[in-house]
Amino acid sequence: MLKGLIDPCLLAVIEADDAYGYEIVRRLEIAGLGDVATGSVYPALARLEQAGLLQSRREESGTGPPRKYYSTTVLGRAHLEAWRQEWLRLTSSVTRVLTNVPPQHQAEEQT
Amino acid sequence: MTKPAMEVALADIRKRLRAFGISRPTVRAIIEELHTDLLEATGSGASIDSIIGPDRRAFAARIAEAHGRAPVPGRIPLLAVVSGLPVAIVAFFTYIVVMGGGPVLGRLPVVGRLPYSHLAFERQSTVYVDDGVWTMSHVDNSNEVWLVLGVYGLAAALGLALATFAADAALRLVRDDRRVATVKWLLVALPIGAIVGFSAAILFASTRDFSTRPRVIQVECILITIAIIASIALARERARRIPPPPSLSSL
Repeated sequence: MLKGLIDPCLLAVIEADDAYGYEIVRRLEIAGLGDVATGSVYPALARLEQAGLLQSRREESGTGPPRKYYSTTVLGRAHLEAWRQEWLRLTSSVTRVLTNVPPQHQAEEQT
Repeated sequence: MTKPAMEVALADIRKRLRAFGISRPTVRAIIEELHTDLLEATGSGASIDSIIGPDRRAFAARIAEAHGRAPVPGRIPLLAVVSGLPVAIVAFFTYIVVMGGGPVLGRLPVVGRLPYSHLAFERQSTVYVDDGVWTMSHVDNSNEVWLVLGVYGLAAALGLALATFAADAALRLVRDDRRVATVKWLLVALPIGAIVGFSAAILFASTRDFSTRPRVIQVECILITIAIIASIALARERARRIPPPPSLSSL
């Protein structure tokens, strides 16, 4: 998976519901992105928080020490929306290219 | 993964983050977060590597970058030695030359043959030790004041050039990623440090009637050394800062 995609994936996962680090890792694993989660989530969370796209708060866990919960900021949601549009445009174009064989290639195959 | 293994991993990450220049409170917050989450992860059967990855150095480096720090060690002792030493040597010889160094240097077998050993900006200057007190003859260099200042200025420029050259060579030798930025910041910070250090030393000397007693000279040297090392640390600190990664602006 492309390195740059971890940021929008994290924002999307957190936008759905505020979460702490390990919970985010599990959500990514359930979504089939377990390989991406390994070693990348915490640095990316720190980067997004530093950039003002995420904010965090301490919350008692009930079973242990307080957890650090992340939530998206207004800026983060705006970035996520821009990323979504960009991704949809990109995947649409790539899908068109991959599924439609160019006419010139078709002619070559027939001969 | 056992609990002691988790403690070892966290201690390793803590040490690396500190070495990368992350502040103590920030490191503490990061480790607390990891500790809480790893407790839950290992409790549910997951391995530490599945959370932080198999390469702890790379993990710490990515976090350091997220906090705007280049993941390179501080290297302050190395820089202090390689850049502080040339400055000290140049400063010492300049002092000797300007304060009537001709006769003093002229006594040295090799230096005595060199033309600059005959430089003496004061007449009949002598340095001698009497009961542990350094005493100098009256400095009569009113006619050559600009020449003396010129020599000091030249020495400062030479010291700065040698210091940055030595720092550049040392950082190149250890393949430091922030070599160029460090040298650039040294060129700015070292002169400032020297000015601050010498000003502090002169200020202190003025409170002691510009005494040449060894204790006074020692304090002056310590003040200058502290200022120089602080300026080196500041230069390195600035050189290790990096702008946010471009991944935030586009896919």
